[in-house]
Amino acid sequence: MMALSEVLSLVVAIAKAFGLVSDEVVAYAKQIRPALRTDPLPDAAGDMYAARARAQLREAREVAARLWASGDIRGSAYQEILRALDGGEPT
Amino acid sequence: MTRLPTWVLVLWQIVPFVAVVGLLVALSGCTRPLDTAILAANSARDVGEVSAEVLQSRCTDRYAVATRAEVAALDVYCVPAARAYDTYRAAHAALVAAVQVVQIGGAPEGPMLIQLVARLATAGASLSRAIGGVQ
Repeated sequence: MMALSEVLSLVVAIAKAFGLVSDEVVAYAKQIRPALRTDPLPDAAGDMYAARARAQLREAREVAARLWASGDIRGSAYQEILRALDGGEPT
Repeated sequence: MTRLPTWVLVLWQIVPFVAVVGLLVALSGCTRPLDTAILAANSARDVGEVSAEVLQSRCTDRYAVATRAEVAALDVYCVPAARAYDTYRAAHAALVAAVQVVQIGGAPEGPMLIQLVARLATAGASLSRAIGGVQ
């Protein structure tokens, strides 16, 4: 059983014997390399986690708003929660 | 839930196969490991882009409008898919970096590239399963 490289060598040898390719062409073909695409893959997982975090923040704001509307928490506590959810430190 | 195009589904079946075949070709000496690694990295990039689109449409866009209960439901399949994608992305980046190191003569081509292609194939198989769950 011949390896693929041996088959290719045989094909090239036959082609050269019939004058279909020259040594220069073979040498050039051996130099041809596939070009590496170096641009990184998108951070799709990061985007997904960010969307998930935003959904949880939105939900937390809605819960806080319901608690405030029902009178379970005071306005100052509600504002403090909103500040915390926006990334600020509670006072 | 809308179904993904057939070519996407087919791609998920082909990816691990192509990666494993590439590895076998490299091992058999039919081509240089560097060329195989470059072809594998380029193919893997295409697959990564498709999987990123799947994550975007099936998970990110849905999280954007999800309630708390829906977030929990999405977590069941989206979080594993995101983890698998991260692993795959890292494996792809590692292979690209290794190829670049070899190209500038910083390391010999051979076992390192083959090993990284194999890791990328493993990560691709995991990603394929995880994305299958998302659909």
